[in-house]
Amino acid sequence: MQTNGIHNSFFIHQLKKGETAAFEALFHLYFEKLHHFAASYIENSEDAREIVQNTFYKLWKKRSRLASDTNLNSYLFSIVKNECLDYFRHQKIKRRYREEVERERAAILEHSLRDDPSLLCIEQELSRKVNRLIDQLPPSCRQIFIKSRFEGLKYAEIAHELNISPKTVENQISKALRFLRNELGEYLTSLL
Amino acid sequence: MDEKELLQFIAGEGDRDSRLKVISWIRDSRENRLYFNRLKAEQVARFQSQDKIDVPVEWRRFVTRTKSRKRRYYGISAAAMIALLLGITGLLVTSGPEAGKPYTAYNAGQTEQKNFVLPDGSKVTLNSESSLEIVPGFNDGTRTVRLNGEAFFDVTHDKDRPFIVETGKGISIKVLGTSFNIKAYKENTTVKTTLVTGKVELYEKNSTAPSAVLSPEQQAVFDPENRKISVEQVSTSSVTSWKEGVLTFDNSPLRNVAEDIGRWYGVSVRIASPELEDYSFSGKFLREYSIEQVMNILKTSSPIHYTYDKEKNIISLEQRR
Repeated sequence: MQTNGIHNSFFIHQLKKGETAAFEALFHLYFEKLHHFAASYIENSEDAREIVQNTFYKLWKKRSRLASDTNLNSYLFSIVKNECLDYFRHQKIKRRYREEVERERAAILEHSLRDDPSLLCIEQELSRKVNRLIDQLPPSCRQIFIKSRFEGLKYAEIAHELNISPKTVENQISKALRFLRNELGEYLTSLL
Repeated sequence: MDEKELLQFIAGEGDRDSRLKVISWIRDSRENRLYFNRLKAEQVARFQSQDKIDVPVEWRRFVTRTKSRKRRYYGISAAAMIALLLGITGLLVTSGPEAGKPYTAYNAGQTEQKNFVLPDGSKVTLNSESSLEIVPGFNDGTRTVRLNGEAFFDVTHDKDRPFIVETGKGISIKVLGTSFNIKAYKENTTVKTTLVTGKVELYEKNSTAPSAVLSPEQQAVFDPENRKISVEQVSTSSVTSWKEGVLTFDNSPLRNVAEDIGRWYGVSVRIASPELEDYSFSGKFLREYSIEQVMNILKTSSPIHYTYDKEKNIISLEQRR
């Protein structure tokens, strides 16, 4: 099954309509990885959490104005990057890095974060890992999950198309979400 | 440069000497720098994180954030209607968390009073011209914030992670879960900590034993210059009334009254007659009063005459003869 998932214009359409389910799926797919990206450069896990929260908040506020061909992977990646650069600027003003080695280290990492060609491998790997995550959904619910969350079909429509009961559709969807919520960590380490 | 040493540096390992060596190597040439950037990016792209993020918890935080904004928005409208009915527009000035960056600082500008919820659920009300900075690592081990100005704290109880307010004036306030008010403006000569409920401990800089422990309805006045703390019984409601939109003065020196009014109304209030420096004032001002109303109250209740230069936004207080 084709899973170019989040680049799918249906998915953007869902976001634009204010579908929380689509947003929630995106959030679950991306939060930890974006956090890893931010924390790797700013070297502060707590602040990185806020950066990713802010990133999703920005997307949430902008969702109705998204172009239908938006590459969400690049979009999220670049918001996080810019928030991190803001953070570095802010920390400099605050003179948070009191020790010389610390200050130099922060300056070097800030510079690395401005080196876009080198960041490209992170952005591509991010997209690859997220798509693999969708692929790793148990096959029974993957198809239904994608149809519902990324193609915007209603439960009844999916049930009709696959000739199963709407209740089954619902169960499979919650199974998929549960997977994303709970087993994500284990799958990450064992499969990716 | 040994790649192993670079990788150590990226992982945040290695001693000071090794770090300095790597830093100077990176600084050495453009090629070195680009090599480092690529190596760093490759490491990040492995997505092997030590940090465990509880995504469902983050999702709930996010939902709360999107919803609380809406609710708060309606809340303000409702409050505005009640305020109009009651004539207490002071409620209008409270607002939600900044859309900006909670990880750095919360601010309330001139004339503002703002409510915030910190990442641990503790509630803070900031008075005008005050800021609160979250110290990195908030929630790991301790919950440390830095205050400049005046704030009322309602701290979520957590016996394992003490909540510490640093004032930058040589004193910090440590609590486990309680509500209290701290007034520590730059221009204030003292730091006043007033306890409403619970228990707080005051620590002077570089001291491991508390210099004072407060019980409810007590106020500690710390004098940074002489490093002296005095504790007295107070009426907490008059100390914290500012967050309900009421400025209360109880035998307060006119200098403090002028400072507080200035911050609330965004004007500079100057005392032109030296004799007035020793004058004390008692009384209340509601947030919805105009600055002229405030000045007229001051004028009728005290031997004071005022001139208001609207262009320069300066009020001068003179003794009435």
